[in-house]
This record gives sequence, C-alpha cells and structure tokens, in this order.
Amino acid sequence: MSFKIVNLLISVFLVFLLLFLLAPQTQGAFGISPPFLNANYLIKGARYSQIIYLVQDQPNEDLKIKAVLDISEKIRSWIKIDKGFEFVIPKGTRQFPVEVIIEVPKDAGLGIYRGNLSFTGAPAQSGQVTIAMGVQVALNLTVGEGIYQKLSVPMIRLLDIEESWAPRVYIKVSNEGNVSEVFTGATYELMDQFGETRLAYMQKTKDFPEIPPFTQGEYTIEFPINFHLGIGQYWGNVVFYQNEKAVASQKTVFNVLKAGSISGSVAQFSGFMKTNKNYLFITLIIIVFAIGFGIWRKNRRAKKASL
Amino acid sequence: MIQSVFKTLGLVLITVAVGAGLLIVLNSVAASTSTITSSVIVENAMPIPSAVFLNNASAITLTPNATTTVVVNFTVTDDNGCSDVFTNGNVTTTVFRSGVGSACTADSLNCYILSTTTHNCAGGNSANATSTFSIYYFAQATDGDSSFPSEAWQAQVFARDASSATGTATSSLQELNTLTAINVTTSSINYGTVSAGTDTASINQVATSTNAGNSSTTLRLYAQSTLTFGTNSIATSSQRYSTSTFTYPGTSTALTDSAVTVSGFFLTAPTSTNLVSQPTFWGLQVPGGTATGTYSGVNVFASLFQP
Repeated sequence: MSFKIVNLLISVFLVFLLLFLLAPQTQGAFGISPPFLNANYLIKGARYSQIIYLVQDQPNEDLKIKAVLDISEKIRSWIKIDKGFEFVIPKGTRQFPVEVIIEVPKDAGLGIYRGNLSFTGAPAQSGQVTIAMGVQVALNLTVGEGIYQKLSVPMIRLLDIEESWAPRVYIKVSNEGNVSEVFTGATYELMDQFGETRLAYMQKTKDFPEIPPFTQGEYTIEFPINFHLGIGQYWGNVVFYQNEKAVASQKTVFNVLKAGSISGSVAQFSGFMKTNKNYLFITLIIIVFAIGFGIWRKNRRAKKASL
Repeated sequence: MIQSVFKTLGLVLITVAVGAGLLIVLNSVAASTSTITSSVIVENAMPIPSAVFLNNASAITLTPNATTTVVVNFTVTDDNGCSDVFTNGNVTTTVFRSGVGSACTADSLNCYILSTTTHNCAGGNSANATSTFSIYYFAQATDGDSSFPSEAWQAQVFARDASSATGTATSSLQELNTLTAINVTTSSINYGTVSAGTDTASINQVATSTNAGNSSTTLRLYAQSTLTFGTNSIATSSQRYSTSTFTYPGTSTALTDSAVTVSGFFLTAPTSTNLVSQPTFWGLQVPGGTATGTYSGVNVFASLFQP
C-alpha cells in the first residue's frame, strides 16, 4: 500500500476520532414509574404504601437524590419515604425502588388531598451550567368511610416436597382494599402422575393468615395427609375460597423428592428426631436401665469378692 | 434265577416303554406350542402447560431508553415424555396487552412473541421452562392513569408435541406501569465567553429533550444553583429559555429558582425507537460590573407526566 494511501486512512481515522470526542455527551435518561400515587380508599387509621421506581438507562456513577414534598401542611406529617428525603442511588442500579408510606391518623378529617413529591438528581459538575434531571410523583389521597374490598392472588405454586412431607402451596396475595381479608377455606385434590386417579382430597377451613389492608403478602400453606407420599411426580389441584366463592385456583404438577433433597442432612436428622421422638425416648430409657443394671451387678460381684 | 432274569427284563422293558411314551407325549406337546405375540398402540397424549407466571406475578416496570428483561416461567407435562414437546415439538410464548388478545401480531407496543425457551427436560413427563422477553420502554402501560386502565398484560403458553397435539395455558393479569422519563442530549449548557454588560444576542445554546418513556410528558425547568464564581454570582433570571430561537431577550422566559412548566413544550409517547424530541434554546445576559471568572451552576430538567 502506498505511503499516500496510508496517510489518507490515518487522517480520516483521526477526523472521525475528533468528531466523536467533540460530540455532546448525553446526560442519560432518567425517569419515574409510576409517576402517580392514587390512594382513593383510605380510611382513618389506615396505613398505605406504594413502591415507585427511579429509573435510569446509564447508571455509570452514584447519583445523589433529593426529595421535596409539596403538599398541604395539614397532611405533610402523614407521608414518609423509606429511604428518607436524601439518599444515593448506587451506580449500576437501573431501577431503584422507593417506598412512599402514608399513615392516616385516627382522627383525620375526611377529604381529598393533592400534592406532589419530586426527586432531583445532583450530578457531578460538568461544564458551565450542569444539567440535573428531575421527576415528579402526583399524590392523590382520598380519606373516606366506605369499605372497599379488592383481593387478588396473582401466584399459586405447588411446591416440590420431600417424602413424608405434607403437600405445600406457596401463594402471593394482594389486598388492595381497606379492610383485612382472610380465606375461609381451601381444597387440595391430589392425583397420580397422570392426573387420572385421585389419591387424596384435603380440605382446610381454618388457620389461614390474615392479610392486612393495602398490603401484599407471601405465604406457604400445608395440607396434611394421613399417608406417606412416596417419591415421584403428582398432580395437585388447589382452590382457595372466600365465603364459599372460589377466588383462586391452580392445577399443576409437583415432585416428591428423596428425604433431605430440600431440607439438607441436618434438617433431615432433626425431622427424624421430631417424627420418632416417642420411640427414641423409650430406647433411651432402656439403655439407661441396661447401664444401671450392669453397674449394679458389677458392684454386687465386687462386694461378694471382698467378703 | 431264570425267573428273576425275566422279571428284570420285564421291568426294563416296561420302563423303556413308559419312557418312550412320555417322550412321544412331550414332543407332541412341544410340537403344538405356538409363540404368542402381544402388541399395544400407545395413543398420543396432548401436552398440558400449567403454572404460567408473568414477571414472577409482579407489575412490570420499564427502563427508559432501553429494553427490560421480563421472564415467563411455566411447566409443560406430556404423558409421552417432555421431549415430545421440547425436542420433537415446539413451544410458543406470547406476552400481550389483554385488549389485543393472545392471537395478536407481534408489535413492540403491545404484543411480544417468542418461540425459544430454556427448559430442564431430561426424561420424565414434565419440565419447567422459561421464556425471556425484552420489552421496549415504549410498551403500552395499563395502570391507573394510563390509556388502558381497565386492561393488563398476560402471558400465554402454546405447546405443540410431535403429533401436533396442542395445549395452552395463560398467566394471571399483571400491570405494566407508566414510565415518565426524558433524556437530554447534552449534560451541560455552555455559554462560552460573555463580557460583562452584554448578552448572548442571537446565539442560543441548545438542549434537546427526548421522550424516553411510554407516556406523554411536558418539561419543568428551574435553577438548582445559580451561576457562581467564588463569592460572585449571576442572577438566575439572567438565564432565559424558549422553545424556539430568540435574540436575547426576545419572547424567552426567565429561569427561576422554582419549577415552571415550559409553555409550548410537549412530547407525545413514542410508538417505536424513532425519537420524539423537542429542543429548548438558551441565552444569557451578564450584568455590567460582574467580576471576571468562570461561573458555574446547575439547572434542573424535570419531566412531568401528562395523561
């Protein structure tokens, strides 16, 4: 390749490099999701919380954030932020959760309250006028007296278990209402690996967890059976009820695994001890008596020999 | 003696005769035995997807200007073996806004379709699988103040086995939250050298804001800290901005210390990766008697959700 062509290629490369370096550097996008908090069914004494996310696409540096609450002085004390009003989003974090908590006093007045909560970044100084990014959450609060019920069960999982365990169900529950909720019943139909033959049918009518208002909860519920479930795959069909109305159900497969597969050997041993504690107690008594008898006989022989 | 010889001979002959007779009988039985073959036709069992969960049964939060990973977890059971589906058949997963339905056409706004999954099928009738989606920042929101508040997003799994038998299952509904975000194409505004007692005249600095979310947005501007050099400062109101070019001061708006919504500024929600953007133009006046030096400050660009 001739010297002139090499020179030309190097020059072109340098021009492009210069243009790239001189190109304006972007701030990186910054936003909020969702940009509103609508608490429309608050009652006196209620506690409401919502997670909002501060989001960014280029979290290359730690980002200091300052929050400012703009709302009537009358209700300013109701509103808190779990992170406080100044915090840092660590670098590398694209979605940073912030919990906004509203605690309505028991003597609160009824009414509709509006305001906003803004979050502003404090980036490192850059150029003459640094551009900082900000976002805002619109706050809409209604304090009333009516009962509002809205319960949903977005997830029901039939958990894998070990042999001799009772079938277990994991549920995620969301109570968006302003009163506590509780299931009134549940059924669990246990079938073979083909889903053809029913092996057991369990019903539960008590000992369900109470789900407080405006909360999400995760629970594991057991359905005891009176026989040993061996290793293998099974179908389970579970239904949850409120006042005899089915509110959620799931039919799927789960596995019964070898003892210790989930709990580990230590837990397996303690489980064995718990299950067989009566037999172990009797065995211990027998051993103690045997040792005691042996000592008594030895002493007796020694006494005879001395005579 | 002769009698005994004849007796013995007779016994031998009888024994031989009996033995020969037995042999003849056995051979005839053997000759009449036939091989019975048995056969059975194993019917094809249809695949059964179950336990479908979208985004771990949680609301979807997007990342500005980027795609967000959203997974769909599910189980597929086939009594002919899970490989009848995962090796010899196929699985298609669709994530969609409920209003467009599961038979939607792929669209980055509201319908994502994948034919690839990761799974743990290793023999046996069931396998757990995951489909991983990349959802764009402009995908349509379904929460409270969005354009689709009575809808939500869902995932549907469609499984087909080697004999083309099919089965489907659908997840519970999940919200896709509103994302309000902007990206500013420069990290700073640089007015260059401006002598005391003069202004930037018709030379405007440009800061372009781009919509990086899935909602319409306006812009609010204010000074977090005014231009300062040591103990010297230039009043916040010396900076002015407009949505069109101007000769200082023209019809521009003076910057303030508290947020002001920019008149005439509106970014619609993007519907693709094509940028939705709008510039703001900036000018500065340096009052007479201002000390020489390099002044710096911080201006805030804040997005504001517009339903």
